[in-house]
Amino acid sequence: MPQTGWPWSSARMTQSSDDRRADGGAVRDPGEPVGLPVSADDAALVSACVAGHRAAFDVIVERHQRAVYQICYRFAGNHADASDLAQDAFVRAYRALPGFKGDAALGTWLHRIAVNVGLNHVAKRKAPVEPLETTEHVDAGAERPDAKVMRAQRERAVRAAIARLPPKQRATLLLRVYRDLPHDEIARILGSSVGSVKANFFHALNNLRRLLRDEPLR
Amino acid sequence: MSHLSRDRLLDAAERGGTPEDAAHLASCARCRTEVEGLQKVLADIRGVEMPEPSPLFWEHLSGRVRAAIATDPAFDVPPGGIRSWRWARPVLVATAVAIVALIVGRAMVPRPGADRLQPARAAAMPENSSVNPGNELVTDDGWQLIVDVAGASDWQAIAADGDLHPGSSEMAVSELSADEQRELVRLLNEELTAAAAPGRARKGDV
Repeated sequence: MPQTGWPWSSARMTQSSDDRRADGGAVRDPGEPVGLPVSADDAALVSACVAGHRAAFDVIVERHQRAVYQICYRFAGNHADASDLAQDAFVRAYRALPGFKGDAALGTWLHRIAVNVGLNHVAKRKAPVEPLETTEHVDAGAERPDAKVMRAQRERAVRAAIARLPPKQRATLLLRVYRDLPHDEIARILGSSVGSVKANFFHALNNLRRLLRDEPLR
Repeated sequence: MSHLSRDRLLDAAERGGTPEDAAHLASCARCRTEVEGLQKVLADIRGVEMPEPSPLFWEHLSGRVRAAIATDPAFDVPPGGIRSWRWARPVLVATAVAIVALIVGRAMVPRPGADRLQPARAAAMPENSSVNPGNELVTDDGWQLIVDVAGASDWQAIAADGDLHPGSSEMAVSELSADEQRELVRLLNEELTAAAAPGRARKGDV
């Protein structure tokens, strides 16, 4: 493995004490890789990785793992499955990296892989599984117990309704609402048109309204 | 009265819409009800929390990915590396082409000098040495023939089915390990013996 002398060796990737990059002083976001040279954009990392510098893929993972995990979580509904799916997505990405031509941003490409992994996961799963965390992570001190229970029930109902959406509507909804992506970006990820994305989003919202009122899907 | 289109209803529900749309919503109960319904379900969806994993989880996840790649035999070397599956495909194709070409050639073309060549090959390859017990590379005539045939293969035709390039065949056969070379020679021996006259099996004849 030709990593000797690689500019992003482990020593260079050590987190600085104040989480600031020496070149621009930008504050590092949690989960973002550390100690990278300013030239380490995604394209450079991909080239380095394909050239045999596996450490560069570590940086890619660190840079995009939060987004990939969040997509996977929204499909899986629980942390354990989301972790497995995120790992699977990155392994698939590593396998396919030589074929990445850079036509889209690396983030878009990874989103697409994560969405496909998520869709495959829900296709294999016969019935939606309620996440164990549904009633966790709620600030109990700020909420009355009965309100907390009602909110948990509502969340569970919404999750179950989302899980019943057709795959494209579900993927569109998750990317739009939880990733806050613009329609054209979602279209690139899903390999469809902007018009199709808007239509799927609209139908997803209306189907959810019906499902939450116990009406059949249209 | 015309009503707001689907896209404008969505825009109004998500971002409030244009001033014209807002004016329309103020006077159109049907569109207003539609937008309020969309806003309500959007609020419900956004209200579903996603628990934030432990800060340690991110290091854990990248470590899992690293370990999965490191332990997967498909990733002996990185994606662009010499022994990735991308490279292995030409090896398999070149080997298959070489074997097929030799078998067809031997079966179809008369070989008046074949018997004359046999003593020389027999001398080059000891008795029962179709599998070379040593660990060095196979260097007999049989192996050289495989290299020659692979080098003369129609790479345009082969490339149409895969990600190949000129020189791949030479690289394919030359990159095989000694064991792989010996196995290829052994397979060729078997096939060529069967393709020649039945009952004329000759050890070491390639």
